[in-house]
Amino acid sequence: MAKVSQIEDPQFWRAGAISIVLVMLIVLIMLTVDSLAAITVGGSHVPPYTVINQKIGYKLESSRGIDVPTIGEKELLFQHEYTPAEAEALIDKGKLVIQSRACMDCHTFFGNGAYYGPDLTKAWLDPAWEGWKGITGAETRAEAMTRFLMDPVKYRTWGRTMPNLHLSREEATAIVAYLKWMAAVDTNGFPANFGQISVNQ
Amino acid sequence: MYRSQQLALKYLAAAIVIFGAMVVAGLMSAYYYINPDFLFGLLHFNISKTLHIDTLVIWLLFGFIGAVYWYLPEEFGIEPVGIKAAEVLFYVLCAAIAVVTLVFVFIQYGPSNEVGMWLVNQGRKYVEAPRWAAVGIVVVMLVFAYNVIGTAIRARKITGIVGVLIVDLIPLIVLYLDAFPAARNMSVDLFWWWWLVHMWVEATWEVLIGCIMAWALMNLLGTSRRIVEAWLYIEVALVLGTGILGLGHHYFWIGTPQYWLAVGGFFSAFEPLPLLGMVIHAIYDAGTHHMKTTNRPAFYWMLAEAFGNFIGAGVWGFMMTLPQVNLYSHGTQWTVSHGHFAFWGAYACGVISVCYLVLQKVRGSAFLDGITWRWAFAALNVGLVGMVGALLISGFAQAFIERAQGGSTLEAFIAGQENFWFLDGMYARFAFGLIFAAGYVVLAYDLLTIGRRLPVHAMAVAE
Amino acid sequence: MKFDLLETALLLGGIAFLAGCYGLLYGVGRLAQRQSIMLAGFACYAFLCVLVAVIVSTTPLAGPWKAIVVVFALGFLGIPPVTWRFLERTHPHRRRS
Ligand code: HEC
Ligand code: HEM
Ligand code: HEM
Ligand SMILES: [Fe+2]
Repeated sequence: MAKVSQIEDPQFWRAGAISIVLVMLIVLIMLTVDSLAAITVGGSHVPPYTVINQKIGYKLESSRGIDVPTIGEKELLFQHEYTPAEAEALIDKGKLVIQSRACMDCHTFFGNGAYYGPDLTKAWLDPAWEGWKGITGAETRAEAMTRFLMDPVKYRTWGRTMPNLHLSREEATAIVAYLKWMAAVDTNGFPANFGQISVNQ
Repeated sequence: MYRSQQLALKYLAAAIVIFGAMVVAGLMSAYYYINPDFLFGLLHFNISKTLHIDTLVIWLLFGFIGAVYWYLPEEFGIEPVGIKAAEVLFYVLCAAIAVVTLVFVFIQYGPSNEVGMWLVNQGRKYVEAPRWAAVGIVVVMLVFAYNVIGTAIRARKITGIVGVLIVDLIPLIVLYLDAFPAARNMSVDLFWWWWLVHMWVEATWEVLIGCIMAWALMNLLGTSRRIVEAWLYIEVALVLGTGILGLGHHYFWIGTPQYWLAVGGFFSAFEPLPLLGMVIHAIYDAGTHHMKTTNRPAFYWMLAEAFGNFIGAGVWGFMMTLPQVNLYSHGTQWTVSHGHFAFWGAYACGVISVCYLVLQKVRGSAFLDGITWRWAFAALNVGLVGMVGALLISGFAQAFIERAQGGSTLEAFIAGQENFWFLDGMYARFAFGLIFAAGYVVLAYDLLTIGRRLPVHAMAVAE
Repeated sequence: MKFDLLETALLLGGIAFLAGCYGLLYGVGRLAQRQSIMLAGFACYAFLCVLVAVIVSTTPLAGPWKAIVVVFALGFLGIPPVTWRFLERTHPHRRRS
């Protein structure tokens, strides 16, 4: 019975394994090339870093049925208009600060990381900052975030507190820029129903 | 005994020690959730959690490496090449791990520049170790690959299992190179990071443990090589056939195009199917050989591996892998529940099984059994399943309150974390964690002593 | 209300879990050559089909995902017997019956 011996033959299965893996890898590589184009800065899903000079929102787009970031009129960060080079340097610094303090081992970014602190994907848009402006005595959201990040223990709100990670003003500024830029990335609607109450006006 | 087998013993012993460190760090991490003031100002959650998951990766890798060093000379009948270098590197690696641990505990954070990345902490989940240590890991893996490939060349022989192993080691090492870059763009960073994490645990590691289990099966049950190899190829085809594009279940929300919802949901939905095949295989082997096995603990841990892999990866994974569910479960304690169950079932049980197989040979026991291993088996599995159940309850509460109702703001986050169900889950997780830790102690004791204690008594128990 | 989220997830987990029970009982039944255990296995599978029907008719999953759940369930039906037959063929000396 030829059929039986084929089923018993490891060579037969090896050929099958190799072909399946090759096909999958080829598809994966094609999708990767396409995705990298979408997620490089300035691609269809990830805005240029200069987006930090503009107003960011998060609104339901009815054609896709999900929330997507909106990029609006000019809204300066720290009363400064960043050139592309400046914006890139600032974001670069922000990423290094985030890595050096291992923020991701307490927080999630786009839902990835650790779950001890809140998700930071849309932290820039968090309605809580309105209240924090009063608490920190800051004029703007960016300033309130900076003050919170530099001394979170002073502004503790509930049992769990973010520790003081000894961020310099420059480092805290870079984080704020990073979070603002991140809020403008199109995440296919994650998180859903974000701050339905007060984000968009 | 071959020298490479003596090295294997060192690797396995170190694996079990690091497993212990991991349990301690896990208990600490869990304790922060019920007492957030714990060690405040001294050592925070992110450090203990980093230690927990980094030691997880290290002890499993040590277990795999140890298993391969053990079976390699038996496969070829000669001493593997380059063992001397591997022996030196073992000590270097252990010293490096100790240094990194001290740096994490006492220095914690570096400057926010390249110096910090090279010397202190890279802050990327699972691969936090500073770059100098990551270089060390690459070197160790390269020498390991050289041991395997060089031995095959010297023996002028390649078996199916070693062939698969060699082909698997290449992507495994290449993927690890993603432990170095600090991509500025978070979407790009996470894109490649998931290649590393997903392709390790759901592809290359699955194949690696498949090779090790193939050797273990031939050893434990005397299954013929032909059968074991045919089965290994089928496993590779099915696991990689679904797992490679299953990568897409991590590309739903990180800025990648929307087609990943379809691709990732589709392929990962089928990932559990091959795992059921492995369960059937385990039952078949158990049934046809049960009476003949001379190594009860190894046998039971191998069964636990098949079932744990199916339930932890398959059932728990399937629950949250469709994008409509994952939108809410993503990045909650629900994920933690799956992560624990899957790692335990797919890898930890397998490594423990190998430890018992090796010990039987080392201690020259014709028969390995007893009471102690049963207590360890029970406490570890009850502890783990209890933790996972508790985390699932917390995760449900979090997904519902924070994600679905509250819309993931800080206020919603706090509401979720302070919810009664969530908190109860956290307490229960800690309690079951203690049971798990007790099981670990018994396991370590049993591994030290089994086969040394009255073999006659063991025979009697086995009857 | 978003409570259907938890319901959906539990149903999905239930399907996979019942598939595991079916596989387990099928295997044990074959080993022990006991019809009753095999029947219990098929009962698990029947219950699984009920859950699939509930998913298809009540949950908010989009159509294509429901279709995938159905295919997934059918795949599970086949795996235990196919794997078993394969194992018996490849282990000729240990065939039990
Ligand atoms: C030890 C754990 C821990 C670490 C490390 C940590 N955080 Fe936090 N973070 C928290 C906790 C807990 C909260 C909630 C604090 C509160 O409500 O007072 C928080 C709150 C925040 C918030 C407010 C979120 C919102 O939506 O209002 C931001 C922004 C933030 N953290 C950013 C960071 C950044 C950036 C880093 C790294 C430099 C970092 N955190 C490191 C635990 C941590
Ligand atoms: C005493 C036992 C254990 C306790 C108390 C424990 C506790 C924890 C805690 C608190 C976290 C952090 C989760 C978060 O970010 O909120 C964690 C993460 C993790 N642990 Fe454990 N753990 C234990 C054992 C294990 C074992 C045995 C394994 C694997 C075999 C494991 C694998 C993991 C993994 C993979 C993560 C990361 C999960 C994720 O972020 O999704 N743990 N653990
Ligand atoms: C060997 C098998 C597996 C292991 C060890 C494993 C482990 C893990 C871990 C540790 C995570 C958390 C990653 C992180 O954020 O740090 C994770 C996430 C995930 N796993 Fe698995 N997994 C396995 C198999 C599977 C399978 C078979 C499926 C699907 C059917 C699956 C579906 C998922 C999904 C959807 C996530 C993302 C969770 C989220 O959105 O937060 N996994 N897995
Ligand atoms: Fe995955």
